[in-house]
Amino acid sequence: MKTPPFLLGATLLFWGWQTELLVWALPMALLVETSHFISTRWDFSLIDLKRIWNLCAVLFFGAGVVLYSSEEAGRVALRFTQWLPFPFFPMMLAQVYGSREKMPLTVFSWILRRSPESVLANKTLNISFVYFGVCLLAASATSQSSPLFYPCIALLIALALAANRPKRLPQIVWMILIASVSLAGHFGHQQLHALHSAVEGTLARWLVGLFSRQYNVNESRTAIGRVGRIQLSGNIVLRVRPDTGEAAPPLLRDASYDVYKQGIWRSSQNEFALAFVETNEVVNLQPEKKLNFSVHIAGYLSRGRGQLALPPGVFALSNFPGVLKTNQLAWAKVEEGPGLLDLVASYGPGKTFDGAPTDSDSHVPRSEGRTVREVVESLNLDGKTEREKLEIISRFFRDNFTYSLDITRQHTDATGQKTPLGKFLTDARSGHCEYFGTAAVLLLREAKIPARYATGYLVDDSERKGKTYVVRERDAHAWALVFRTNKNVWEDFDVTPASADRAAKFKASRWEPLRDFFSILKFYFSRWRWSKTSYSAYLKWLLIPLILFLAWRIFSSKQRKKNAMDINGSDFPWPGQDSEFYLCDKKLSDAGLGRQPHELLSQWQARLLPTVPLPESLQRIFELHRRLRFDPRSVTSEDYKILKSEVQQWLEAFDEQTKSKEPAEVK
Amino acid sequence: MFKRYLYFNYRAFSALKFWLRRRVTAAGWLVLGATLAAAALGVDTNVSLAYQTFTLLFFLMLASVFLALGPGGKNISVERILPRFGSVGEPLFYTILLRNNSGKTQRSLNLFEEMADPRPSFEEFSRAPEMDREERTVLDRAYRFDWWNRLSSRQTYARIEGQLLPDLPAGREQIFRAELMPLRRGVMRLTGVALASPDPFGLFRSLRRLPAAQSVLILPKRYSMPPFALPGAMKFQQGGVSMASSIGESEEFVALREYRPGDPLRRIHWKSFAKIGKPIVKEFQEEFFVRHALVLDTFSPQTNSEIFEEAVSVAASIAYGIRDEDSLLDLMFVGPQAFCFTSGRGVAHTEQMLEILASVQTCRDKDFSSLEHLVLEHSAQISGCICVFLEWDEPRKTFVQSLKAQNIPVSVFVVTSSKDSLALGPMADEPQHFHTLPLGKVAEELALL
Repeated sequence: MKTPPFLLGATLLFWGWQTELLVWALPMALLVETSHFISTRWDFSLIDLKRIWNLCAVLFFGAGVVLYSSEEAGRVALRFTQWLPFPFFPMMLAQVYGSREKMPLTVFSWILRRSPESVLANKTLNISFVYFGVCLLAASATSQSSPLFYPCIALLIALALAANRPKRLPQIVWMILIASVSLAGHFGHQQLHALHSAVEGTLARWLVGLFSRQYNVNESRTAIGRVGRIQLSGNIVLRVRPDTGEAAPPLLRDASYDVYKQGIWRSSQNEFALAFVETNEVVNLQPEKKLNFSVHIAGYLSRGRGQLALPPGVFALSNFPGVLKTNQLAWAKVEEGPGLLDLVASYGPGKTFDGAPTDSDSHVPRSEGRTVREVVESLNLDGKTEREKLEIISRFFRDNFTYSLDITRQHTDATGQKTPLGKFLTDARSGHCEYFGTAAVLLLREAKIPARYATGYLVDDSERKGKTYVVRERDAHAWALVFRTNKNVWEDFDVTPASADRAAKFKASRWEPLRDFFSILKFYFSRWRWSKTSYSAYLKWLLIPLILFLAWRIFSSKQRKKNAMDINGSDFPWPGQDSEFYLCDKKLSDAGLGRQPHELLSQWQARLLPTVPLPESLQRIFELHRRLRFDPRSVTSEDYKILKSEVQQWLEAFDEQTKSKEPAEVK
Repeated sequence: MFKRYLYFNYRAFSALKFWLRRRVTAAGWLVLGATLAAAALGVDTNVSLAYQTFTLLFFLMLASVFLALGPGGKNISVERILPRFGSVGEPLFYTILLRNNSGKTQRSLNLFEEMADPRPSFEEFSRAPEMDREERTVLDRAYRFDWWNRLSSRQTYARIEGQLLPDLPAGREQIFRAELMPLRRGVMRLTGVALASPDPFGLFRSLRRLPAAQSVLILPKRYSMPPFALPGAMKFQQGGVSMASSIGESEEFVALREYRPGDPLRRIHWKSFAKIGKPIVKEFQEEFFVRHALVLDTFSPQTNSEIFEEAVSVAASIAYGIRDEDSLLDLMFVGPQAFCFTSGRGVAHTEQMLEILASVQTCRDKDFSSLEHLVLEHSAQISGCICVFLEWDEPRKTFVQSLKAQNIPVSVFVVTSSKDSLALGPMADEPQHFHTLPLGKVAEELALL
C-alpha cells in the first residue's frame, strides 16, 4: 500500500521544522511530491536497487561516524535519529521515481539474497510507510517542546491510517475513534511526563540517601583493617610524557584529605572555586615559577567529568578544554571536559595551590591518640627541629617496617583494644601505602607538624614505554603531605618503604601485553576523536567521492522509460534481442508471411521453408537464432559472423524472388 | 525436567508466533516497531519529544487490540471444494463458496486456512535425534531448537497466507478461488477456515473460526526431465494378455490349427469350425514386452532426511517422465513390508504410483538386503532396472553387481549431500548410466540427462 499523496512531503516538512533542518527538508519534500506530476520513471534493475541500498548504508554509517566524532557523547543518539531521513532518502527516491511500486526484500538483506528459496526472499515491500515512520521518529528526537508538535504528529498519523480504513466503517465513526485516541494520547503523554519527573525526583533522593551513608565523593575509604590481599588491576589509567630530557614527576596527586576517622579520610573543604580558563585553553593555578618543567598527562574522563592527577607544585595547565574547579585541598575537578583529556601540566619546586593549614590538619583522632602518642614519645622528638623530626619519623618507618599487600589477622586486635592502625604501628609493622600514609600523617600531627593525607599515583620508571610512562590502576598510592612552616609550602612526605619492590608484589597478568596493545589502540583513537583539530569535519568530504561514485554506478547505464506501464519488470534485456534474424522477420512480415501470434517458432519455420528462397540457409538462420535466443553462451563470435552473412544472402535472394514475382503479378 | 521446560517454551513461543502472524497486519507490525523505537528514544521525557509519539502510538495499539477482540466475519458460511491432489512446490488452486447470511455487505475480510497443529508432542520431542549427532553443535544438542524446527516443519504441509476476500453482498453467495503452496508430500489435513476482519485502524484482526475439515493428498515434488531412454529388451511375461491387455505384441495372431485336447474353448475359431466341420483353434504368439523396475532406496539413517525426500522426488520424476506406453514399470521399495507396484497401460496409471510415493516412508527396521531380495525375485521379468539410492556403499554396489551379472541393464541415481564425485564401482563400464545428484542441484542434474 502506498502513502496518500503529499503525506510524505508534509511529514518531511514537519521533520525539517522540528529539527531545524528545513533548508534540507524543503527540497526533499519537493522532490518526493513532484513525482506525482511526472510520468517519467526510471527502470531500476535489481542490481541498481542493491547499489542504492548500499549507498544508503554508506550514508547511514557515515552519518554515525561523523556524529560520533563531532558531537558530545550524550547527544550522538538523538542527533543520529534526527538525521535518519537523510541516509534513506535515496531509496525513497528510487521508489517514487522508479518503475517498481514495491521493493523486493532481497534488496535490503544480504542473507535473503543468499537464500532465494526462503519465503521472505520472494516478498516485496512498499517502503513509503516505513520512511514515513522514520521521519516521524526523527522529528520526535528533539527536545524543543512546541504546542504544535503533538497535534501535527497526531494529524499525520491519522492521515496515514485513513488510507487503511476498512470500507465497512463510516468515515465519521472512524474520525471520532481517531480523535478519541489522539485525546487519550495527549492526556497520556502529559501524565507520563509528570510521572517521569516524579520518579526521577524520588529516585534521585533515594539514591542520595542510599549512597551518602556508604560513599561520598569527598572521602577516601582506605583498606585499613581489611584482611586479605589487596588486588588492583593492570589497567592503564594515565599516560605521562615529560618534555624531552626531563624526568617524569614521581608522584601525581589527585586528592588530599584532612579529617581521619576509623579508616576513612574525609575532606573538610567542600567549597570549590571555578578556575579561569583562558581562551587559549590555559589555566593558571598560581604564578609561574622560574624553575619549571612540563609534562603531558593523558587520561580518560567519564562523561567529561573527573579529577585531575597533577604533579606537585603545578602552576599552570595548558591544552585544557573544559571547566575546572579547585578547592583548598588542591583538588582539581573537571566538568564538561572531553572523553580523553591530554593536557600539559607545568610544575616546579616550591609552592603548591593547597590552602593554608587549618585546625583539622593538626588533629589526631581520639581512637588513635594513645598509640600515636606512645610512638611519638618513643621517638624522642621533643626539642627537635622540624627537619629533624621529619628525618626521625622517616627513618622510623624505613628501619622498622616492611611493605606488604597481604593483610593478615596479625593486623587486627581480637580484644578490640587497639585499632588496626595501632596494631600496625606497634605490632604488625607491615602494610600497604594506606597504612604508611595515614600513620605518617598522624605521627606528624602528634609532633606538631600540620599534615594531610594525599592519594594519587606513583609514576614508575619500570613502566616507561619509549618517551611515555604508563600509570596503571595498581600504581595507585597514598602518602602524607607535610606543611613546612619555614618555607610556607606543602611538601610530599612518602614513608612507604621499598617502593621499587612494590610493583613486583603485584602479579602482572599474562594477558597484560595484549591488553596494553588494545589500550594503546583505544588511546590513539580517542586522542584523534577528541583532538581539537576536528578531523571529523573532513570525514563528510571523504564521503562525497564515495557517494558520487555509487551514484555514477547507478545512473550511468540507465535508460529512461517514458511510460511506466510499458515496463515489464525484467532486469536485463533478453538475450538475442540484437539478432540479425529480425531483419528476416521484418521482411517476411512485410511480405505477409509474418509469424502468427499462436505460432511456435518451429511451426512458423516449417510453414515458411517450402515457400521461400534458400530454405537451407533460412534453416541455418533459424537454428543460429534459436541458439542465440535460448543458449547465448554457446554462440561464438564466429557464429555471429555466419548469421550475419547468411541473413544478408538470404535477404538478397528474397528481394530477387519478390522482384521477379512482381512483373508477373502486373501482367 | 529441562526437556519439558524447553518443550513448553518452544510450544508457547510457536503459539505466540502463530497468533501474531494471523492477528497483526503489516501496518500493525510497523506501528509496533515504531512504538518500541519511540519508547526507547523517549525514555527521558526531558531530552526528547519521542514520549509523546510513544503515548499516541501506544493508545492507538491499545484501541486497535480492544476493537479487534470481537469475532470477525459473522453469519458467513463456508464450503471448500478441493481437488484430489496437489504437488509439492506447485500452487494448489481450489474453490471456496462463501455465503453471507447477514443483512449487510461484508467487506475487507481475510481468509486464513486452518491446518492440523504442526507442533510435535512431548514424546516426539523427547526422542532425541541420535543419528546425525556429528552434524549438530553442542548447543543444538542441548537446546534441541533445530530438532523442534525439524519436527514442526515435518507436520507443516503448506504455507498459508491471508487471502483478501471480495466484498460479500448480503444474502448472496460468492465463489472465491483460493490458493495454497504445498511444502511436503503426504496427506494434508485442513481443519477449517478463519475469517479475519481488521480493526478500524487496520492494525489488528479479529478472527472467526469455521469448521471445514477436509484433506488432500500432496504428491511428491517432480522435476522436469528430458525424455528418458530406458535400458533393456523385451522379455517373456508370464501373465500374458491378462497381465497387459494391449501391451507389446499381445494381440499378435500366428495361425490356425486343429484342436488338441486341453485347448481352451475360447480359442476355437467358430467360422472355420463351421466351414471345415472339425474344431479349429487360433494360435497366438507368446507375450513379450518391456518391463522396468524403479527401485527406491528407503534405508535412510535419519527419519526426516532431505536426501530421502529428494530421492522420492527423483523417483516420482522418473515415474512421471516415462512416456513409453508400451512398457510396464514396477515400483519397488521396502517400507513396513516389501512393495512391488506395477503401472502401465491396462494395469494402473502413473497417478496411482505418485499416490504411493506421496506416502512412502523411510525404513529403519530392516536392512538393504530385503530390497535386494525383492528385486532379485522379480529379476526374471525385468528388462531393465532404475535404482534411486541414498548412498553408494558396498551393499548397494554389490546389489548392482548382481543385477548386472544377470544381464539386466541398470541405471543408477545417487542422491548425495557430498560435493565430491563418487567412485563408479560396478558402473565403471557404463558411466553414462550413473548419475550423481548433489543436494540443491538435483533439478539441474536431471535436466542435463
